[in-house]
Amino acid sequence: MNTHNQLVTQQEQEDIVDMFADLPAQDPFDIKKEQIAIALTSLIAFAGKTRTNIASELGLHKSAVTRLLSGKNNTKLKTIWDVASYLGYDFDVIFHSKNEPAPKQPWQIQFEREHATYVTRTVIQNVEQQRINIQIQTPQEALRDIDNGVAASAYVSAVQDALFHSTLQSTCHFSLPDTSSEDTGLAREIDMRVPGPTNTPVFITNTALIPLTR
Amino acid sequence: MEQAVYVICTTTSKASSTTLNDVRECQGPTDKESMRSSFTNLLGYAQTGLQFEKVYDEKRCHQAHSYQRNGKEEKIWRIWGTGTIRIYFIYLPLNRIVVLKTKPKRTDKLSKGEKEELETLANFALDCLEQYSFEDRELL
Repeated sequence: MNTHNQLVTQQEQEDIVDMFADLPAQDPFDIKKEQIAIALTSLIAFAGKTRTNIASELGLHKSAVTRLLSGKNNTKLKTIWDVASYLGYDFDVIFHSKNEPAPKQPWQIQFEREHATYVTRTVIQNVEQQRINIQIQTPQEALRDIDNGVAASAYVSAVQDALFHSTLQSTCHFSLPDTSSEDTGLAREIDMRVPGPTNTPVFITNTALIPLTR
Repeated sequence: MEQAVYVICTTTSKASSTTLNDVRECQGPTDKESMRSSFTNLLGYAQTGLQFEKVYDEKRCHQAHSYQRNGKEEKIWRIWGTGTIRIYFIYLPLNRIVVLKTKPKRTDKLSKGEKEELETLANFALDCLEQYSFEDRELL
């Protein structure tokens, strides 16, 4: 038997779902055209270019660029290639399950790098008060943990990094610069897991520790 | 990180969303189709995390109105959506926007009544945000 609250919730859901119920269902191909146009527009903006730049560089009329980015047209593969190439990018056709998120775009990757830099600084600033637990994982294991809501605080790839003296991949033994983990007051611990050496989905640089997230 | 898009609810029920009401009030299949397309587009761009002024050109996304609230200027922005649909919103810190009003509009200029309505909605949203946390008030 439904409780009053359940009925209210059901009513709310129906209200939300019914927003455009009187309209015919959207053609999935129309949605895909829109998504491609949004991706192209975003790439242009991310590259710091304007529609006018695109029009003049590719020899197109401005109205043609407007149509291209409207999401209403069946854009030619050659046009996508021309825009991407002009902006200095490549692209691939990558298939994924409908239930899986699409591969990340350059602007999403940049955001995560910028966000991750902050994480790195936090780690470095507090390094003397922290003990780092290292656990070796395959990328698949790391992704499984993220999906199950038990992700580590940070992930690093198995490559040489300035933070560590040795290469994690070869020995998984390292020490922190200018500090001894034995002697420090260990206020809190960092749970850090290291993806295995093959197909590492994350990477580390001298300045940015990229968290592995979905 | 994508932009978070919020709508206003006048009660704790999502069904009281002013945006849902805007959709219900939209007459005619063409305008309603345009409204759906405009939201699809808006949410698609919101997912990119890029500022709307960068992905929409100035003609399609610009400041529509500003007013004084507690001695501070509040700006209300407008997106020209598909067809005649216009979406009015305010920016909040941390890549968040609140949709105030969505309606078909065939003239660019706002009437006095329309400005007052937008100001009322913006004040309602801002008052709520000053009293409650984002987590408590997240609607979409």
